[in-house]
Amino acid sequence: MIFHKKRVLTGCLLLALGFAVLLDTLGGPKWYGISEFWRPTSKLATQILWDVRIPRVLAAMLVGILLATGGLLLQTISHNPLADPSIIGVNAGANLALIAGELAGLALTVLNAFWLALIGALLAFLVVIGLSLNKKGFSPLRLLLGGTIFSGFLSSISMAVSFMTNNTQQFRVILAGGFSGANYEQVGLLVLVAIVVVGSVFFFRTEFTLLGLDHQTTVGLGLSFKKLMGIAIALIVLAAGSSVAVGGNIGFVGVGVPQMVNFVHPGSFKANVFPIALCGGIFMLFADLISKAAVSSVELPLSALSAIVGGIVLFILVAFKKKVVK
Amino acid sequence: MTDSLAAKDLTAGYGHKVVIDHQDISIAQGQITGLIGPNGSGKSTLFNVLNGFESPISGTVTLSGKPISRFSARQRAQQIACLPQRTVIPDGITVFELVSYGRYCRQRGFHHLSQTDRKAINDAIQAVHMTSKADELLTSLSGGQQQRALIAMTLAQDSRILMLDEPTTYLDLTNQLEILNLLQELNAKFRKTIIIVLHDLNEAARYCHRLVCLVDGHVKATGRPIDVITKAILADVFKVDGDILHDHGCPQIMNCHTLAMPS
Repeated sequence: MIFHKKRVLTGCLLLALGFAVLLDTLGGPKWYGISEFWRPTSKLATQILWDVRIPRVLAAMLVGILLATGGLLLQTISHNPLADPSIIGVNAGANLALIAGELAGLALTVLNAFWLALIGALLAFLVVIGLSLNKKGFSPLRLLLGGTIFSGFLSSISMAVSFMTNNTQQFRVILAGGFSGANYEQVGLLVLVAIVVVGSVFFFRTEFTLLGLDHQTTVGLGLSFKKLMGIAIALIVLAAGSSVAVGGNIGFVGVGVPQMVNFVHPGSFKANVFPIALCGGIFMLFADLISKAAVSSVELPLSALSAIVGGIVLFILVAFKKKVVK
Repeated sequence: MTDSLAAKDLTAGYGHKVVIDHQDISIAQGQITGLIGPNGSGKSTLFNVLNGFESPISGTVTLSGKPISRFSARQRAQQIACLPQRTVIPDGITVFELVSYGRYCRQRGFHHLSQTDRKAINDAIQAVHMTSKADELLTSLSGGQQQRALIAMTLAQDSRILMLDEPTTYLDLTNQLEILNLLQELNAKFRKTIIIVLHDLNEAARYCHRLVCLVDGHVKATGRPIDVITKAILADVFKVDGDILHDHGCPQIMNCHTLAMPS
């Protein structure tokens, strides 16, 4: 019965994801009809659809999936439903690494951007983990507090550097977030990362579910705690870093999407990780659609848009939840 | 009487701070052993070293004669099930799901629940008298019920040894007694070796076969409750004075009052 329900849910979400992919492909400053695929009206339309829209849509979908999965992983291992790589400075680290790399004279090719962002994300995460260790070990509260401060610190440096060097326009995508320049090379790398992240999450889903209990209980149940924490951290860095390399710093998805799914369908990591990943993709596709289609000729900054939409949704959730509890 | 778990010349602590100082401790098989002592005496440190969660600074802990450090986390979990003092209860999971986590150390491959697993889970839930609540969300249950569900999780591990760190601390009297009766029942029925950290000396005396009394990282006394709970120990270790009544051989402390602390 439960198994059946789960299948229906996954099926519905896959359908919704397909619908979102289609809508985001056809929508934009100029909307195309679906017949464009088999009866193109012009060569330009075909070119726009296949060379601009489709890579952009795939990149948005994959980044959404990665951000939501990374967010849920971090929330699980830190026992804090509000933790998110973008809140604790992992994304900001990747961001700063990209800007620093560019300023150091490195050409931000797709591959360079990937490894720079990954290194930045990893270093930032290690610093934040260092900050969150106290005498008795890892403290989730310190992770969030230290991370928030560190994230603000890194973002300020990024801002200051880009203003001082008059490069704000050049760093627009990195700072404001967005998929306007996405290409197939990026999509290829994102597919690889998504296979690794989603595959590992599937393989270790029971272990990660158990990490949701406290450290001592987890070890008592027979889990190799350090090994699994290492894997979880590597996956979070991979997800957050590669997302920043392609889409810049996009907040909310990592914390908001898991929150929304858990609100509608409370469940363990194992039960909810795939619905959350799919919803991350769907959310990002709609956010991308709004950013390119809402105001013609102007591309709205995706990070701000995501935060605004997410802020409203979270606000409603919190207000509604309070009512339910009372 | 064979030892199932033993520590030899054990020194343990955190960082450079030595909490347990060169102690020998042995836990008898098939009995309920209570670890007692004032706050900061080293009960929790000893608990964590005995279950292999922390490594000792020096000395060895052996499980069935083999050093516990030679067991993998999974092998250890098959022998010792352990419930720490405070556990994070994740949102959105049912009693059945929580108890199923106990089967992790027995599963292989993709962790699908086998028939044996399901039976062990249902038996564990039944043992803590929660069959009617199996499908309810943990967060909707009372503290006592959550504690029972957690104990069921450790039972599902199907281990010989069960270790619990102050399992009754946050519970009201009814729930305290229910948990302790349950442990007594498990010990009697399944011959489980149970190691339990307790604060209430009267409960410890009533429910444990043996007591290990710690003070400042040293074993002050060990043996049957009647030999450990004495006026001298009360004064020496707990800095209290009280009358000790013997109820069918079980010592119970009455009229307790603190002794003046030496300044």
